[in-house]
Amino acid sequence: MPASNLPALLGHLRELTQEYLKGGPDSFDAFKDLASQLLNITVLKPGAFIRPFASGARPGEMLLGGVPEPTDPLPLTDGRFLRLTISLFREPVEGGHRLKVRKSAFQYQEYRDDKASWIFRYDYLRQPPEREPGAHLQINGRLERAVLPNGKPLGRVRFPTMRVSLEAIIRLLVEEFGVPCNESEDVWRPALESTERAFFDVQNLPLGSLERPTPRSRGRSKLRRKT
Amino acid sequence: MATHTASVREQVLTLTREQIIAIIEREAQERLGLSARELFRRYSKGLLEDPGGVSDLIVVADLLPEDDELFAGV
Repeated sequence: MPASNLPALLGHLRELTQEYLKGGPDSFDAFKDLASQLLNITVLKPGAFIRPFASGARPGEMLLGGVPEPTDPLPLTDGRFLRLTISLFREPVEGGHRLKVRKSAFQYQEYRDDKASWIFRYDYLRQPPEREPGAHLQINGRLERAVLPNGKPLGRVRFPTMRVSLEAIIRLLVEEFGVPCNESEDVWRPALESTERAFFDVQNLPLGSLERPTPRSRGRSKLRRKT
Repeated sequence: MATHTASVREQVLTLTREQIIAIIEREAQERLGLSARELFRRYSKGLLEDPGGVSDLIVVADLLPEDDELFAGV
């Protein structure tokens, strides 16, 4: 895509963002299309796609995942894989609904069927079990010093984080792991920045985050100014 | 802008309870040698050594009703 088409792309992404923020019946599709678009212009192997799943037991809720099953990882342009599962629901709020993420799990892995080949994970749980940080990062690596108790491997450590956006994960894959993008940097970088703004404005900050700024706090104001 | 958007409008695939349980059951057995029910019992009590290894299954279970018998005793 030539960078000259960027305004049209940004406009499209803005429309999708506004649609999912409205929380109406079309918000699921808008969120799904937005996530698809961001992955398609960046790290998703051409021809691959994320799939929406639903069940009759929970009407009005949706799950995004792989193909053919939700737990199947998505192929990336570097030959590795991203396991992506996100559950969404519409919560009634004053004057309407709001689309929310109930849980999300991202796992970058080397091989499709070798689950031990994972590299990093980001998980988010709106209501985590006791002793589990609601949002956390795991890294499948080794420490140079044996400082963890009882020989615990580094990969079992759940580092608490703030909510991490899909955009941030894509950026991490591109900038730190060298995953090639389908579009030029002139296109994907402003696209990710534009949609990430909305995420910062509405994200739920789970207990166990590094900081928990309120809507009027300096922390959140900084995020807004930055974007 | 149409370069990579051909598959954006994918149809929603509706899964039955049996299909959802089958996915969780098979993956829980393969990864941890546990039944789906035992997986959720241990998960809810913080007894799994590496819950991140099954976090995708925990997400998939969101398609089941909260009072599903899979979560009985959890």
